[in-house]
Amino acid sequence: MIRAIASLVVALTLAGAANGQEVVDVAPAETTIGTSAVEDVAAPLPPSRQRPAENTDEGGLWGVSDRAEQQARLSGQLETDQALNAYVRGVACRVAGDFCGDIRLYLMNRPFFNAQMAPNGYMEAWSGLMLRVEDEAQLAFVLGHEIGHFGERHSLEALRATRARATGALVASVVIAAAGTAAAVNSPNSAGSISDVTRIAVDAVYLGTLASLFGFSRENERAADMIGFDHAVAAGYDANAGKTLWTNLIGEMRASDNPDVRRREARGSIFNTHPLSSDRVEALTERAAAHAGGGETHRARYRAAIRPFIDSWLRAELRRRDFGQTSFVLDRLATHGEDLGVIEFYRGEMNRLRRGEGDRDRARTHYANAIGYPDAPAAAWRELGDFAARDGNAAQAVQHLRIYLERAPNAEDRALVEARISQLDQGGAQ
Amino acid sequence: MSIGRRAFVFGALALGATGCATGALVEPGVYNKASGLNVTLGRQWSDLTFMLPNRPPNVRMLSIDGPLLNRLFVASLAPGESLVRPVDRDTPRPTYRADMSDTEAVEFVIDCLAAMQLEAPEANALRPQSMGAAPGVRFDIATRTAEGLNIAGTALVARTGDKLRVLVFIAPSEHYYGALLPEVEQILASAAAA
Repeated sequence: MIRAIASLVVALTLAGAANGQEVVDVAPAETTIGTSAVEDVAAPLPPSRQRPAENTDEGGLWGVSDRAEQQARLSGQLETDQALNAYVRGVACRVAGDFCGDIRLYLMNRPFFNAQMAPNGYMEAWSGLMLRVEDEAQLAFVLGHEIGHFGERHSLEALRATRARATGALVASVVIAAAGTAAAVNSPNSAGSISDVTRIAVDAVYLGTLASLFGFSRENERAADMIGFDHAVAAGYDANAGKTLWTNLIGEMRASDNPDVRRREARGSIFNTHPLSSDRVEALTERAAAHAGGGETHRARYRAAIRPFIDSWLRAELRRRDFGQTSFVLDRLATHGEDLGVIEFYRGEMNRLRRGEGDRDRARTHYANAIGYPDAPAAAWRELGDFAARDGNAAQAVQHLRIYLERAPNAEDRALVEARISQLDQGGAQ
Repeated sequence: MSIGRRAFVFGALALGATGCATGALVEPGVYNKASGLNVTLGRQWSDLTFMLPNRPPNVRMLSIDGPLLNRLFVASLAPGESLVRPVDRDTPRPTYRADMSDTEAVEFVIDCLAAMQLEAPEANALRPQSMGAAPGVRFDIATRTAEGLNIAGTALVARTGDKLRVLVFIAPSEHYYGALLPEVEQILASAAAA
């Protein structure tokens, strides 16, 4: 029973780990890879916590966390880039203090804002978080927040407080999950599809349990905010990082195309179990105001670390098709006038995919803007070539497509583009 | 709807979805269930369309060993349709538009695969290839499952009128993709709008 309840509570605590999300093994805090590394992180420390006995409720939590971590290690969503992993691990250790040796950090390619830390010390940071965080101080605040949950044993606290309240939801959860499992057994090849259906159903049950936990969770979230603040500031980071990040995220949720997200400012994010409210922002604002200041954002260092990944993260972000949120994210990324070729290209992509009134013209404008910057993706020329062809300007289309092939000689669509050029050269159809 | 009632409804749907449907054997020969896209199968397949979540219209899913080991999508999509259906009304999905360029049609298929929970799918080696009399685009696919299993694939898309005819084959790159590729190549070569 302890394990069963622990399973539920961990699923809640991990903010989505029940959806088949998993974790990555990261090299210890050797943070000297790449130019953006954190220089002053000490060598890995031994864990500060001993594994609890298996016959305790905390031992049950660790067992469930172990299994989730095992899945994470094998996940197809795992980001394995050594330099980025080392960088984020370095930031985590910088704010973790004595808990540095407990952390096993996994970067996951998931286009949502989320970080989480399990009772056994495994921690996840998602690509959607990395894309939204503006500087190292904000990343440090988020990781410090998660370490705060770990340090205060909030999962265990939640488990004990939830036992009685969770029973009803747990029964429903087990019944639905059992139905899915039985179906999978009866038709082994259908496991993937059926698991999808079951997952949706189980998520609905989790939502019910979450609702009963919100009052409790907010207390822990506020506490974790303050711990994250203290850890980040003690590590020399900007005291305004937390309030700025939360304010931006509230703004992004409000910009969502999805009415459900706008209503709850919560969906598909850390805030499923980390409810974000203005009182938390106010508390962090007060805390920052009382602080003497002088911390660093390390914005340039952070941007250098994530720059190689911005393109692929934005592609994944676009696939969510929440163009309101994506537009907000792109605007935030453009704030300091960096990476504008990539950002303008993705503004073009967003408008091209959205296909609303005026979007076609806006897409063309953004692609045209993009090619004015040295970091413009070659695909910007291809898109401009496509626009020109549709507009009946074959000569300009051919010119753009040829530039595309010059800039991307190994493009996967080279044969297709060459055929298109040939067609346009011969006065072919648009 | 209350949380409890919603959970009950979802549970009932889950039980229904997992307990009632069955697949059907498809004999070698012409397969014409995809609303205007005919292909010729060289061997026996199973039609597992019922397993598609929310079952999008005009999309059929065939398999030899089960969808986790090989999947062939045969679809004939009208504008506004897709290879996938959203899990709820507020979750957008990739949608076929009649004015898509060839590159956008490929992007549409790839985005559909991403919506099927395949990780970072990529289209490789795009090249012109006809589907019957219709000019089309052939491309290969590289992706992986959320659990980390590498998946390979190949696809052929073509437009006839306003419809997008789609053939997508995906399978684990270890053994299963290569084992069925000769059969799939013949199927792609046989494809024609009805």
